[in-house]
Amino acid sequence: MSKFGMASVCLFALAGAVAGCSGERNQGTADATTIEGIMKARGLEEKHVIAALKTYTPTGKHDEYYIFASGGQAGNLIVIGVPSMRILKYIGVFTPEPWQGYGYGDQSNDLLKQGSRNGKAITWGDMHHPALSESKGDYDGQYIFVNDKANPRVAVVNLKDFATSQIVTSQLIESEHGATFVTPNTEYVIEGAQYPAPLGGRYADLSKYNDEYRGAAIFWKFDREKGKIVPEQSWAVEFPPYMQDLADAGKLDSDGWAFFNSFNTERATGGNLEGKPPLESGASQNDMDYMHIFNWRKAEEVVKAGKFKTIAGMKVISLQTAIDEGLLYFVGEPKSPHGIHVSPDGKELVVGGKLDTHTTVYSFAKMKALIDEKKFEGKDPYGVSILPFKDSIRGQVEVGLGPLHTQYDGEGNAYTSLFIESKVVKWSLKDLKVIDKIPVHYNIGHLLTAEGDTVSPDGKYLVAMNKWVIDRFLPVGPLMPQNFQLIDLTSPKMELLYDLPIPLGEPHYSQMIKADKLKPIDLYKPAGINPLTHEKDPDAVEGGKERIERRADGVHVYMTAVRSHFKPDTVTVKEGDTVHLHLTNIEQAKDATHGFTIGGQNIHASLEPGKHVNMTFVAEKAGVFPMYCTEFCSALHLEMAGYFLVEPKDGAATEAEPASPPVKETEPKEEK
Amino acid sequence: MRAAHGRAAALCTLALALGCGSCGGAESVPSPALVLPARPSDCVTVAAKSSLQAAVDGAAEGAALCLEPGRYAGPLRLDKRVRLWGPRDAVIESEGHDTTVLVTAPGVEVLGLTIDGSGGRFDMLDAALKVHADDVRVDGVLIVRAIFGVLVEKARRVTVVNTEVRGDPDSPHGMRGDGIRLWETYDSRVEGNIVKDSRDMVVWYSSQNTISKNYVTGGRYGTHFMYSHGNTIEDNRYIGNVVGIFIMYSRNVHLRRNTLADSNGAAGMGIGIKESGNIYVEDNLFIHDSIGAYLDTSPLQQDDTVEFKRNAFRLGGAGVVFHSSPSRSLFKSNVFADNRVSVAVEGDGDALGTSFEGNDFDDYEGFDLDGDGTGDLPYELRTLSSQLTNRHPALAFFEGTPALNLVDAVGRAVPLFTPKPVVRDLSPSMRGGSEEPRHGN
Repeated sequence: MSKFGMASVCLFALAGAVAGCSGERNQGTADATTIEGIMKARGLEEKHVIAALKTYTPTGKHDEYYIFASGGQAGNLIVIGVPSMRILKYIGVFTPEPWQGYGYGDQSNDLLKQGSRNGKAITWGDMHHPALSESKGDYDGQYIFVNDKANPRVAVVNLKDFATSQIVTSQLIESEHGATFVTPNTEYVIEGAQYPAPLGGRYADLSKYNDEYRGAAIFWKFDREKGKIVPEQSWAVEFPPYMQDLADAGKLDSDGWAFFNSFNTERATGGNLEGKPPLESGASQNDMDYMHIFNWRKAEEVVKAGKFKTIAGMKVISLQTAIDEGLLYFVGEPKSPHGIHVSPDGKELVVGGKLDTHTTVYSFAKMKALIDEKKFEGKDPYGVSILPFKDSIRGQVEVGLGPLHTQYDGEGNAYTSLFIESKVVKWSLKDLKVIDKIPVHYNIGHLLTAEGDTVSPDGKYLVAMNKWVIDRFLPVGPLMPQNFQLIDLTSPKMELLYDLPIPLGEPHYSQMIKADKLKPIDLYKPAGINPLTHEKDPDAVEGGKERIERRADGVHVYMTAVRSHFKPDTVTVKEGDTVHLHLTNIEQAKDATHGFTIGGQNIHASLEPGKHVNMTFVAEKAGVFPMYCTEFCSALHLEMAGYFLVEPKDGAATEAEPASPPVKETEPKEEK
Repeated sequence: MRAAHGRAAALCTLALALGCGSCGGAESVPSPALVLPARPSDCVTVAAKSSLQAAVDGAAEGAALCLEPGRYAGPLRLDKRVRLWGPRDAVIESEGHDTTVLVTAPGVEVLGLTIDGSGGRFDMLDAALKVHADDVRVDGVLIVRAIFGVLVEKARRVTVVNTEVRGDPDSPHGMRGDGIRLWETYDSRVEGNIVKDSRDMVVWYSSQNTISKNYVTGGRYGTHFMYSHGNTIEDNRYIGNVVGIFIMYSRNVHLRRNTLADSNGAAGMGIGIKESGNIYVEDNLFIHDSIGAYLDTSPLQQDDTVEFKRNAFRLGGAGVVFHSSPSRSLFKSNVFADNRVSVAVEGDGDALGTSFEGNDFDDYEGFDLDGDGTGDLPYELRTLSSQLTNRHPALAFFEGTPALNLVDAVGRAVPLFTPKPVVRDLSPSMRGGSEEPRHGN
């Protein structure tokens, strides 16, 4: 014990001596041209300089990794470079995105409409968990899928051009959270429900919660060749009315299975205005909830055999069928489980409990053996067999307070976010021992490591996705950004490198992929490509073939854009005409993007080189509307403009009184 | 000189805390003990091996049932107001599943006896004794081999006293259940109990309760409060738990005269306070904890405070750790001695927004020429965060690992500057720990 005392005395003496020394050093004026001077002027310490050296990326140099981060309530996807943490792009997904013209008049309007629910267009989304497409359990860099928790939808983003190409939705469920997760070869994109409701959008009183409300998971079939989800080949499975939470697909040893966490197995429904305990209290009362262990490979056969019912157009395996066919099993999970993460070798699953201090490491082989031998410790009220908890796990690790999510590196280590403690803990998956901890600011949710949820994680970098920032950045009013903290995993100890404020929405999960796995195009080739199909649009316009045609369905304008003019640059239509604008950027030069708008029409297109857009709108009001290029494209960008003239309807008053008298030509002034 | 004095005092206090009782002048709080309550005078005797449930079913409202020594088969449902008494060797046994004794009627008293075991299902909250009614008294009960000990749910004015819950020390923490748990429970009293080797003692969604004079050891969370307000925690001994007391999302909590010792390990802390406010921590002993007190974003609400007065932080990794730069807290007349670091702030922050007044720091290098008991110079703890990291107690398990080579390299290339102040006490105490609490017997 006394060693402590001595050690601390020594340390303080040392610290005092160092302080004394450096005090003398600081007598002179700092020279801002030396590292020392800059450090002094900016109040930096050595570790800050090291962090700068590890992250600063000079002009023209590229980052090593991409991060794809969910944009949360903004409903879009954020692309970030690592280690510089430079934001590279926002990709409009569930939300109109004006810069990209996404949802402002072109074919993306129709795309967004694919995500309508109950006929209502939804113009925001609560994006949570991006999932990069995988081949053999590794990121292949082709597609990324994202979800909308609030309005259950799944979108496909094509990484060829970093643009959304499809949105699907099913009225089967009313909310979701276990999405998106892909099976190891992207056979399916998993979308697990969150808040139970009567399946298919029916009404049932809350008093019938146990009998009429249900959870579910949708397995959206992905056709990689076409780059599309195929709703007709997709199916779902019915779950008990627990709140299913995050999910993960098995891989390697556990390939063919999917795993869903759950909470509120108490089936609490709140009612605090009526004096009942709030939902959160009722929902956290039980000490354990149930991991859902689901055999999707076998389920696929069950669907093929026709053992499903159709609800809201979706093929659904009923809960009873799932039980009878041996598709679904439960095992206990401690204290409000949240994240579930299959290990890189697919042999184990790590589960964190929001109110626990341990992560639990489940053995897939043990669980599989228990299932095969039918060794159950009971059934839930719906008849699902429950595996004995103690026989299903390899062990638990006391990692700290409030473990949520786990990622991996290539050296057998796991990294877990500790929400309550606001820390990241590194621990060894091999011997279940804690190795390192680092504080993060504040209230970390998800975390990610480089390719950290694949069969071959890189580790190397970790990002803590913190929910609160409190004092980390310049104040910007009560609504504060989120904080992405980049942490270096290559040192023996984890070191904080960089804080990136995320200024739109609350990102949940993100993934980090090696940059060289992506082969994005830098222009659409040949000119006239429709980005939704990546094929030449039937209405693509070639240079020299610009024209205006009046047809039964309205006026078709075939227009090209090239520096620095639109052709035609004058378009005249009649009041009330439906205008079909077919617009091709015929440039084939990198980054020669044009924007196109007509004032007052709420339309805007982004015309990347080679891109073709189709826009349809009604010229409702007579008048003169400038149209111009909105993306600075050349020295004569301001001149890249023209007029969209809407003539009054025949018989209407021709002209209002001019606002000011005609201007007289004036005599040129004499120059002095 | 002062450091040596402090160390001696700390060792003495530690010895006190561990029960040697050899230091004179210490006030003494009686140790909790499993006490058999008096046999009710109006007893109806229940013979061993008879059906206890039948006896309860046949008893009149308000009757007292006294068990003879022997074993009784559970499960037992106490659904009318009875008093159930038994000597220690009257044992109600679990049949291997479900809760063993379930109380659903107000006014029930369970006095003495032993409850042996419960079912093993965590998802079903299998407990030795589950109380689901108001005004229930649990007095002097011994509970062994159960997953959960005493679960009190949705109840008011429940009393759990002089009871002992023995968990399984050979089972990992995560595989044990809670010793005592209050859930949506109000105006209740948990006093003089012994909770050994269970997982947690839990007070969730439960307000206006008193937790006093308990001895909690060998567990994970000595007591975990969440969304629980107006509770008082006094005169308890929390020894050798991973975390002594953890308070989350709670307000108006008083902690007085508790001993929080040997909270070690990576997550070890005497008290953790997260996003809570109006927490009053007075006259407690924090001894040999990885972190004595850990404050994360507390006080949370704008007009709330957190106050630490007259506590002693001794022989720990760090006395107090702030997760970030705190404000509106008060640390007054505390003693910091023989810790590896007195105060640390994570995230490159400082604790200059917290009032430190009249604290006694053993690393104070000032003097008291005028002899008024207050140092003539302010106490300032200055440190570089990189140095701090190396000394941070949460990283104690890295001791002996080589320092970061790159840090060393840059450290050589770039000389150090004056470290910034992290803590400042304008009136440090020079009284040498004479004011520290002495209740830790």
